[in-house]
Amino acid sequence: MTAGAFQSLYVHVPFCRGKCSYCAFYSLGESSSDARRAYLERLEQEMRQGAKNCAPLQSVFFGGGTPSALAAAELNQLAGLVKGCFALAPDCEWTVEANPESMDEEKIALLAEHGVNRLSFGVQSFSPSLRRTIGRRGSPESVGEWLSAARQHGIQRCNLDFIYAIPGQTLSDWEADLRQAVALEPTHLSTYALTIEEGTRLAGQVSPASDDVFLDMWDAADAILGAAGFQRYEISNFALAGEECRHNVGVWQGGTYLGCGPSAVSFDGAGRSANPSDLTAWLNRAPPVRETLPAHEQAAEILAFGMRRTVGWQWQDFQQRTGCDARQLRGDALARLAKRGLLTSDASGARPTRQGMLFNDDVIMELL
Amino acid sequence: MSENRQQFIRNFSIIAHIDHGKSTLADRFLLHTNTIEERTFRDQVLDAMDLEQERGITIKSHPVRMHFQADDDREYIFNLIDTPGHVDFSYEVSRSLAACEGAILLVDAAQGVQAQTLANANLAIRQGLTIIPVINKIDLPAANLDMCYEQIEELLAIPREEVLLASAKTGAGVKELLNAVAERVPPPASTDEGVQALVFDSVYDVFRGVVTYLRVVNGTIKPGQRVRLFNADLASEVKEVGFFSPEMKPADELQPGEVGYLITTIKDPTEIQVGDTVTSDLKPCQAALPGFQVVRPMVFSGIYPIDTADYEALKFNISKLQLNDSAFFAQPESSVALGAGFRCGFLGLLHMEIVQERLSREYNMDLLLTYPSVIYHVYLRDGTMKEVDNPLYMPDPSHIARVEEPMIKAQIISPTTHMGAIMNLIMEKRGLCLKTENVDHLHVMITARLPLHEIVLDFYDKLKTVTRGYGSMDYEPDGYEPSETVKLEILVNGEPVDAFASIVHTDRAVQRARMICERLKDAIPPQMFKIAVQGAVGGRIIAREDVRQLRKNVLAKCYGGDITRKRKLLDKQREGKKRMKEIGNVNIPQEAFVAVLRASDE
Ligand SMILES: Nc1nc2c(ncn2[C@@H]2O[C@H](COP(=O)(O)OP(=O)(O)OP(=O)(O)O)[C@@H](O)[C@H]2O)c(=O)[nH]1
Ligand code: SF4
Ligand SMILES: [Mg+2]
Repeated sequence: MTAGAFQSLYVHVPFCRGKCSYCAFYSLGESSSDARRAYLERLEQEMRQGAKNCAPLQSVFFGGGTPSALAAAELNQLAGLVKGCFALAPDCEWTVEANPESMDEEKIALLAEHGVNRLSFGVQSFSPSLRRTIGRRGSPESVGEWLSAARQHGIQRCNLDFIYAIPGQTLSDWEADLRQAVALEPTHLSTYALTIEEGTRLAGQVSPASDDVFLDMWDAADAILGAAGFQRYEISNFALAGEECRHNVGVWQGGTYLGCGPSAVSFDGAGRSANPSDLTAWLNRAPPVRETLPAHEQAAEILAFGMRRTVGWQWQDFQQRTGCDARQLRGDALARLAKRGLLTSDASGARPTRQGMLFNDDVIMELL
Repeated sequence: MSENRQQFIRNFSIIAHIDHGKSTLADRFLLHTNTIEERTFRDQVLDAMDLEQERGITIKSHPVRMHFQADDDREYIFNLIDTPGHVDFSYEVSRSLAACEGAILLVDAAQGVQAQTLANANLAIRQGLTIIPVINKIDLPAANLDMCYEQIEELLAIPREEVLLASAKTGAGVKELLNAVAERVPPPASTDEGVQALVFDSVYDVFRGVVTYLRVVNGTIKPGQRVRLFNADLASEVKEVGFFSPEMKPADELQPGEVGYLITTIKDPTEIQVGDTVTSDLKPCQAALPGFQVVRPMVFSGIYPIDTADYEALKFNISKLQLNDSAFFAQPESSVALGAGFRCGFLGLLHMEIVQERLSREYNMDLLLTYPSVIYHVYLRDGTMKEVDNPLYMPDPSHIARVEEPMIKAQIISPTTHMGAIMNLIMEKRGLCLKTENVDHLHVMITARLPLHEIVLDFYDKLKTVTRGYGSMDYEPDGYEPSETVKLEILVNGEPVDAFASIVHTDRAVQRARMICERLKDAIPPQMFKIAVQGAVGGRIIAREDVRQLRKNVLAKCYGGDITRKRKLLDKQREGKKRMKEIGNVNIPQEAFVAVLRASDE
C-alpha cells in the first residue's frame, strides 16, 4: 500500500478534570490555562503542517482526554483552528467528546456554530457506587439536558459511552443503565467491557468480572438495545440505522487519518506515526515514532482489524482499499477461522460469527 | 625403568564416605610434596570441573603424581587417585582401585563409619589392596575418636593400633600418613609378559582428542610406538605419554607400575572402552588384563532439548560425555510431544542430575527429563519376558501376565534414636527390613530390601530428613520381585501425551495422576472449549481436571493508536504459540512440560 492524502482528522485533547482509575489514555487530570494555551499554539502549527497532506476531510474527531474540559473560549479557538486549517467535505462528520459535568449550553452552542454535528458523552454508568468503583468523578445526571440542548442547536447525532462488567455490577444494574440510556434517545451507544489496564490505579486493586457475567451483559445489550432499534455494528458499538460513527468505521477499514496532539496517531495508508504521549515532549516537538509494515502485512492488518465490525469485509471493498485479494492474501487463515466457527465467508465476503466477535483476538491473530 | 625405581613407586587411592575429606587430604598431599605451589592452590584443587567445585563433591576420579621425600631419606613416586564418595559413582572408585596397590580409607571423626565407608572399604578388600585406615577431621570439636575406633573395629575388623589420625584441614598427621603410604603400600609388581597397560578412564580433550588414563602393568610405552587395544583389536601409534601433575605433563615413557596418560592417533571417542588393555602391536601380550565388570545403568529417563534446534548439539555433547562417563548410556528416542531426544541410563539419581547439569551447563542448553524408570521384567501371556524401562514400550495390560520390578539390598547406618522412623520409612516405601545390628552403643546398621524405583524417587532424601542428616545408605542390586506395576497415562482432550506417561506402582498411580492433572490444568492456558486433563491406567480414568475455559478473548476498545499496540501484543503471543506443542487440538506451552516434568511427586 502506498501513502495517500489524509481523509480524516483526529485531535487529541489531553486534559481532564481529574483522572479516572481505569483510564489508560494519555491525559492530565489537572492543567493550567498556560499549559492549555501552549497546547493550542503548538496544535495550530501541527495542523497547518498536516493540512498540506489532507484531502477535504470526511470526518473530524475531537477525543481525549476530555475536549469539554477546555474552557468555552479555548474550545472555540480549537474548533476555529480546524476550520482555519483544513478544508472539510460538505457532509463531513464532526464529533466532539464531552463529559456531562464539564459540558454546558454555551459550549454546545459554539460547537454547533462551527459545524460540529455529533457529540459523544462519557456517561460510563449511572450508578454512583459503580462510578466509585471505577473512580469516575462527577455525576452524569445532566446528560439528558445536554442531549436536548444539542438537538435544539441542530446537533442531532449523539453517542453515550458506557462501561460494563465492572466488579460488583449485577446484570440488573447493567440493564438499568441500558434502559436509562435508551430513554435519552441517543443515536449511538458505545458499551465497553471494563479493561483493567496495566499502570492504571485500578490495576491490582480489583479483579475483572467473570466471563459468565460478561457474556450475560453482552447479551443484555444486544436484547435491550436491539429492541430500541440499535444494532451492534462493532464489538463495542451500537447505532440506529445509518448512525454509525463514520470516523471510527474509517479507522477499522484502514482509512487514512491525521492525528494531532500528544499521543495522537496518524495513518497514511503505508504506516503509522505516533506522537509522544507526553505534553512537554510534544510541545518541544519530539518527533513522532513512525512504523511501516511491508505492504502485504499492512493489508493483512487491515483485513484483521476490519473483522471487529459485524459486517466484516466485502472482498470487493477490501480489494479497493488495499489493492489485494483477501483470499489470496490469507486464504488459509480464513478457511481455518471458518472451520473453527469464528467466521462465515461466501463469494461476497467474510464476517465474524457471534463467537468470532467474542474471540476477536483469535480472529485477528489468525489473520495478521 | 630399573627394578630399583619401580621399588619406590606407590599407587594408591583415597576412599571414603561422601564429604569425609578425601579431596581436602589430597590437597594437603599436593602441597606437602610441592607438587602444586601455594600460589596456584585452591581448595579441592583436583575437583577440576566447575560442577565439582560448586557442589563441593567429587564426581570423577582424579589421578595425580607426586614425589615424596620419606623419613627413610629415599624419594618415592606417589600416584594418588582421589575418588568420589557418592554411591552413584562407586564404579569410578572400583576402576581407580584397579590401578592401585593400596587405599587410604578416611573416616570422619565426627560422623564415624558411614554406609559408603563400608562399601568402598569392601571394594578395596575384594581387590586385595592394602588399606591404611585414617580418622580425619580430628580438629573438629565434635570429633569422637572412641566411637570411630569402636566402629572401625566392629564393622571393618581393623584393630585400632593400625589406625592413623589426621586433619586434612590443619595438616596434622599428614606427614606421618605419607610415610605410612611409603612403608605399608607395596610397590607394583610386574612380569615379563610383554606390554600390558590397563585403560581405567578416558576423556575427550577439545585440543588433543581422546586421552586415555593408563596403569602400566608390564613393559614400557613411549611416543612413536605402535600399540594395540587388545579387546577392540585396534592398532594405532602413540603420539604422547605423560603424567598428571595434576595437569597433563608429557614424559619420555611410561614404565611398569606407573600411572599416566596416553594419546594415540585414535580420534573417535567411541573406539576406546575403559577396561581394555593396551599392548604392543608388534609383540602383543597373550591375554588381556582382567577388565571391569560392565556397569549396567539402573535408572532411565528421556532427555530432550527444550529447543528442538538443539538436538544435533545435544547428540554430539552426549557422545563426548559418554567417553568420560562409561556408565552413562544413551540412545536416540523420539516423543510426539517433545520431538527428538535420547533415552538415557544412569547409575542413580545423582548421576542423572549431574549428567543433566553437565549437559546443560557446559553447552548451555535447556533440557527436559522425563519421569525416571527402572528396568521392569514384563512377563507376557505368551510366556515370553520383555525388559521395559520406558513407558512407551509397556505392553498393553491385556497381554501382561505379571510384572517384576528390580529390588535392592540397602545398608543403612544411623544413630539408634532414628531407628523407628527409618523402619516406618522402609515400610512406606514398600520395603522389608531384613536385619538390624548394633554398630556401637549409639549406632545401628539396618539391612533392608526395597524396590529400586523407590530409591530412585526420593528414599534417600527422606532418609536424610528422618535421620536429621545422620543416616547414610549404600545399596546393591538384589534381584526382582513381582509387583503391581502399571503404566500411567496422561490424556489431554482424550489424547495421550507420551512425555507424561510413567510406570508406577498401583498404589502410587492415583496420587501421581492427580498431581500431574492439577499442574497441567494450571499450566495450560484457558481454552475456548471445555478440555479435560485425565490420568488413566489401562483405559480407566483415575484422575481428572478441567482446563479453565475461556468464554471470550476480545479487546473492548480498538481505535487508531490501539491497533499497533494490539498487533505487537498478538505478535508476541503468536511467537509463544510457535513454541507450543499441539496435542488433542490443545496448544500445550513449554512451561506445562517443565511444570510437570520438573516437579517432584509432592
Ligand atoms: N574441620 C575439618 N574439615 C575438613 C577436614 N577435611 C575436610 N574437611 C571439610 O569437609 C568437607 C568435605 O571435604 P572434601 O575434601 O570435599 O570431601 P570429599 O571426601 O572429597 O567429598 P566427595 O568427593 O564429595 O565424596 C569440606 O568442607 C572440607 O573443608 C578436616 O580435617 N577438618
Ligand atoms: S475522563 Fe476519559 S480521558 Fe479523562 S481520565 Fe477519565 S477516562 Fe481518562
Ligand atoms: Mg572429593
